[in-house]
Amino acid sequence: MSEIIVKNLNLYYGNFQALTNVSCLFEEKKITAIIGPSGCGKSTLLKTFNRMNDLIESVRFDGRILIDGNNIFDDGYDLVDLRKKVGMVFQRPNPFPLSIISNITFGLKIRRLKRYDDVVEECLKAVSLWDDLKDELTGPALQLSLEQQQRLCIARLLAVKPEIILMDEPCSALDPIATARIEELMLELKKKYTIIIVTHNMQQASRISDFCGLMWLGKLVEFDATEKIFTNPKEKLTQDYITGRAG
Amino acid sequence: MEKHFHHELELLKQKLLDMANKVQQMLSDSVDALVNLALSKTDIVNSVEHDINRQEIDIDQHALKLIALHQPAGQDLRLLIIILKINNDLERIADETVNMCERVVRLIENPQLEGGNILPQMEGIVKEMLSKAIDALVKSDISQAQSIFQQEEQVDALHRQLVRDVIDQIKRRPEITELALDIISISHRLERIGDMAVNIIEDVMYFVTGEEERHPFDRT
Repeated sequence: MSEIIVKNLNLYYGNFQALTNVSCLFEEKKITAIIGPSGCGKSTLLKTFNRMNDLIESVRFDGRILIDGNNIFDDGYDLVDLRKKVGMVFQRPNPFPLSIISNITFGLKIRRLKRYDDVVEECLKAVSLWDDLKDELTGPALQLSLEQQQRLCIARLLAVKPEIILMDEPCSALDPIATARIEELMLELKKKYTIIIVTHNMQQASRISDFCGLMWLGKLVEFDATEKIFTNPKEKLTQDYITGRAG
Repeated sequence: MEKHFHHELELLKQKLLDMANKVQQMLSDSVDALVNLALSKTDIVNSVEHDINRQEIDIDQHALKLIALHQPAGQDLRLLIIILKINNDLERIADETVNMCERVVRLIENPQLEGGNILPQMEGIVKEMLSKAIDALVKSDISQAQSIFQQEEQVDALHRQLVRDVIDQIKRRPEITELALDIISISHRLERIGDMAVNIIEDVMYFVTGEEERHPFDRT
């Protein structure tokens, strides 16, 4: 099971409370979008799922996040295992300044896995880059187009066999055509992976997600099936946000 | 940008209400023509129909433009969807009134058959149903919905009764068959207008509640 259960999550940066009593369920092999205005806590919530917020000095949190039934905040929880299980894609593609093949195999080499030829092909095929790049795998990754770089970053995290993929505005640096292709890729990936995406683009959320949550001032205002959120939300704040009357 | 969109949406709703007013007047005039055998009213109804056809196209195009350019959601999306549907129903009601007027012309020329007091009863109820449905749209108030559903059942029952009465008359006087069919046709058109008033109130209910309200089992 690669669902995520969030229970009564509070998160503070020093004295500032960034997340307030967030509870929800992110279903397995579904795309869940988190929407909301800038600074509402979307990315903060996303980063708790692989505990990237731990890197911020003043951060503290309480509540529980269960992945595979285990609380990732428990003492002794293996963070390396967590970050292998929960991969992340960022706003701007961030390939390593290495060759294409080295980007894919980087995680495998760190884990001292020796056989990875098949993995390279498998991962590049999964993101529809194999046909374009199979003859130039030793070429520099940074010379790829932005869309290809973003695909490569997704392929890079697939190589370490995650169960959950977090995406923080993954298309914000891409043009509409590249955005549409990445969205298609996400719909393919959800057959195998649980995907959580943070996006400012409400049309993107409505196009690709199965579930959608609205964050507002650190609180999860409403969480429901995407169709419900965009046609008949329960909360007035959600109604006002999706119709452009608030935010 | 959103203020502009909401201004445009309000403008579109006003266009629909303007069309609704005209269609209500067409129904009123066609009923007047039928009850009082007033030929002048049929001319008025026919002349307005062209305006209604133009307005229907204008409203369709305006709504499609707003959907394409603004990707509305929530109650804005629901309003646009019901505007498109009600627009279609209003145009059909206008067509029905024109068709009724064509029958009225023949009845004026050959007033040998009466629909008794049933047609005027049906007309009164149907006018009221449409008026309530349009009022619900104007005020986003669905408190009259149940009353409209009950009136639809009354109209259906009156239509069935009229058909039975007219068939009896045909049996007694076969020479009036052609005119009798006109009476039945008018009754059927009134019954259809009642159905479309129900469509409109159901659409308004969807807009207000966000829930699908059509064809519930407990209303059949």
